[in-house]
Amino acid sequence: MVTSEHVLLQRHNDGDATAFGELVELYRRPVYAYLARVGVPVSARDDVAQDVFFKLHKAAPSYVPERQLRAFVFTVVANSARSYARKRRVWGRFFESVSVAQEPAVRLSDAVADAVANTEAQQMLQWLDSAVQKLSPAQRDVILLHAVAQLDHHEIAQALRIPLNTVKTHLRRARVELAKMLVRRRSQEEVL
Amino acid sequence: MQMTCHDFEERLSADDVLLDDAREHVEQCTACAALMRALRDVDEHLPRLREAEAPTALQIEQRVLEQRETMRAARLGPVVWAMAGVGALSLVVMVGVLVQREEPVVVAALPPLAAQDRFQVEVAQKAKEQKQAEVREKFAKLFAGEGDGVGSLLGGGARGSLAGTLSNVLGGSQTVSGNESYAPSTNNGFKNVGEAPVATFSIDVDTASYANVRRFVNAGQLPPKDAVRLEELINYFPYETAPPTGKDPIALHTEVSTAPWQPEHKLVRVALRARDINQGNRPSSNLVFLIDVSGSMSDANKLPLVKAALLMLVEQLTANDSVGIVVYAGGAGVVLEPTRGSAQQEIRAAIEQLQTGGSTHGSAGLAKAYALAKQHYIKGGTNRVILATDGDFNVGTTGREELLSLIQTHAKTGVFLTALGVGMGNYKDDTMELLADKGNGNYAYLDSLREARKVLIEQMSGTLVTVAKDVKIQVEFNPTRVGSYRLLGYENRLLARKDFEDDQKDAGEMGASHVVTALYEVVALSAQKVAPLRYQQAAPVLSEAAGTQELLHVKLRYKLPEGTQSVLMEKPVLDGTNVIDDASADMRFATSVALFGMGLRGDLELAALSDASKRYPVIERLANRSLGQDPHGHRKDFVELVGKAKRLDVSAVAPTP
Repeated sequence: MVTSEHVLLQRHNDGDATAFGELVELYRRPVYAYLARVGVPVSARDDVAQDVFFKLHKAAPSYVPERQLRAFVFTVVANSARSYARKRRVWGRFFESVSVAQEPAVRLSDAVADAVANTEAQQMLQWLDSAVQKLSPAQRDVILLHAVAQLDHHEIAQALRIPLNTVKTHLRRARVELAKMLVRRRSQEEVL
Repeated sequence: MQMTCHDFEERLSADDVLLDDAREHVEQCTACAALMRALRDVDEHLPRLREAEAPTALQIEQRVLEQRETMRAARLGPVVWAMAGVGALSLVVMVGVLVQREEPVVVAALPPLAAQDRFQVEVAQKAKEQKQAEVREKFAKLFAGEGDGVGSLLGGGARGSLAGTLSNVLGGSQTVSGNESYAPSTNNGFKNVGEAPVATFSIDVDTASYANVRRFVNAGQLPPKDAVRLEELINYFPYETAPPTGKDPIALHTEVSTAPWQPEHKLVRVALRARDINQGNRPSSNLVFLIDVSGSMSDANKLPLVKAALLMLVEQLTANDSVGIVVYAGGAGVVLEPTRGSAQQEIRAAIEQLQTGGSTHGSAGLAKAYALAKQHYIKGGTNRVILATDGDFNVGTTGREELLSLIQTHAKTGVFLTALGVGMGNYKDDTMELLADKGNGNYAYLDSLREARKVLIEQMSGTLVTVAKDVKIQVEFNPTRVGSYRLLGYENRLLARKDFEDDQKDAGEMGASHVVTALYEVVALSAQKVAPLRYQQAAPVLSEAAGTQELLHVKLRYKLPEGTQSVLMEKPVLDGTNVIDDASADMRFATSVALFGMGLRGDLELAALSDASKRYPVIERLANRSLGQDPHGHRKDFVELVGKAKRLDVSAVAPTP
């Protein structure tokens, strides 16, 4: 799987007509998941995802096979998401409510027979989702690339063009920060 | 050397592996142990963030179609049309990429993007931004009062959020918290008995406001003032008021005491208690669930909660009942044709497979649900549409007025409406209340499974079985004893004096076992401080009754569920001097809740108790001493809620100089 993924863009550049379609299909889910997590609302996700795949298509010729494809893709994704956020700050005040924290994050596929038990796990996940939004942008990018896009430390460093040690620091701080928020939330719940 | 918590945290961030001294510290320090546990939970759940929904190609295509529909429906003129054009175009391109992925090099097959894309994208972007600016201007004008009433419609597509956001930005009339909307309301002021001796209002059994206030407070925030409706707070709780014994389905109780915030003022409680129906004698029910499955419902506290709630309700049904399910999103469809309550498996399966997708087409869903309920009408039984939504009717060709008239027409045929509100963020409280009000129904807000249990199980017969409809109350004050008065709450339920006798005039319904409480704050004539009029002498011709001990006279009108003629009940209330601390538990508790709500609403007539630091102790004292039986612990919950609100109410902890 990893190997075929690795050569997809290469195949595309070599004139394989189906390769790019495969790549889109392969990355559709993680790209959407990442966009959802960095706060791109549902209404704009299609647009931003589209933008991502356009850019990829455009940039394909410059792809160096030695580079990790995943890191390459998410470099584009992270940039697109950021430029969306910038635009949104300008227009958002007039066109959309600025809060995106309650974007439906998780699709419920589980049978609802155990909806009751499920609700709790869902709530935890939903909380985590909104908590991630509260992290500093740097920490958020790193932890999402790690958890959602499944990049390893080196790939994150490549994708964000920051030093490896910075990646590690951000990642750890983000985890501790989230854990602290969870502790606060739990103690609040107890008070209630 | 002793390790500190700070050291520990540093160690955590320096290395995932805990050294011995760190391990020792965790064993001793509960705070750090909790942090470790939380860290583990975070690590465990983080990967699940990957599960976000990526739409299928088909879904994306559907969205494009829906968006076009919306734009057509919105009929906002060429400006929006142009925007829709640009938006749809870009989406279609996306569909191209995803749908036709099996076709070779889709992107390259599109208009010569690879070569000219930069230019084209820029041009499209510019055009889009220009259109956006035009639309913005147009909306700004609309909301500045030059509009044709777009703001008053239910909203379509982008309009919903635009309306909320813009009216907020431009200082419009609605209160918006996030994207939530609440109808503005002002407190009932004091009325002079000389000028208005009679007060008339419709009862209200809704309880949504309390659950909503609780959601805010639990989230660490005081609710917006307009989200607090006093009567819904008071009526949320069970009371020990006795059920009727005669032939009337309603018992009328009254009590006089004093107002804790203004001891010279009297507080009069008018309490109605509907008769009980035991589960065995419950009339057959014909229920149609109308469920919003639009994209906005996918949060854990929305559709999943609704599903769990309905599953609980279905368990209570028998072969005498029937259940149908209609869903609405981009379109509206029947998921389950009316089915006997005994076919539990079938009903459960239908509920369980509900999924979200698309935007909301509320009006079509409502029409379909009513049609279904009418087809299976049970004479003498309960016929009800149960609407579950976050209230965001954002796609639909129907304006607010049309929708309401649809509901009103059906309410006349005996199909009533129960509105269950869920969710937050773009929750439309005002819409929901209005729908239930016009639909001869009730409205509850579900913030948790526990609340769902209360509304649908504990109070099932009340929620489903109406025992009296169009219940109105009229109070006449004795001018020899009362100078002025005000009704606490019911701001949007006030009726004109003549409406009381008018049987055409719609009013609130009471379900089995429901208790409705209204509180009047009354100022004695002797305490009245009003300058005399220059042209009129305040000397009305008095009847004989005016010379008695009567403080006021309560009249009540109701109709039986299928009746058209109203029945009158009446009761004089004698003046009393009972102070609040000696009043009945129900009276003390209702007063406590009222005072809590008035504080949240920023009531200006609370005298010394305007100061939150003085108010909260009084609220707590009154509530704590009147917990009564409280079988489900709702009153106790209130006391806890007050404690939380007290901490949030900054002024409550601010030092007094």
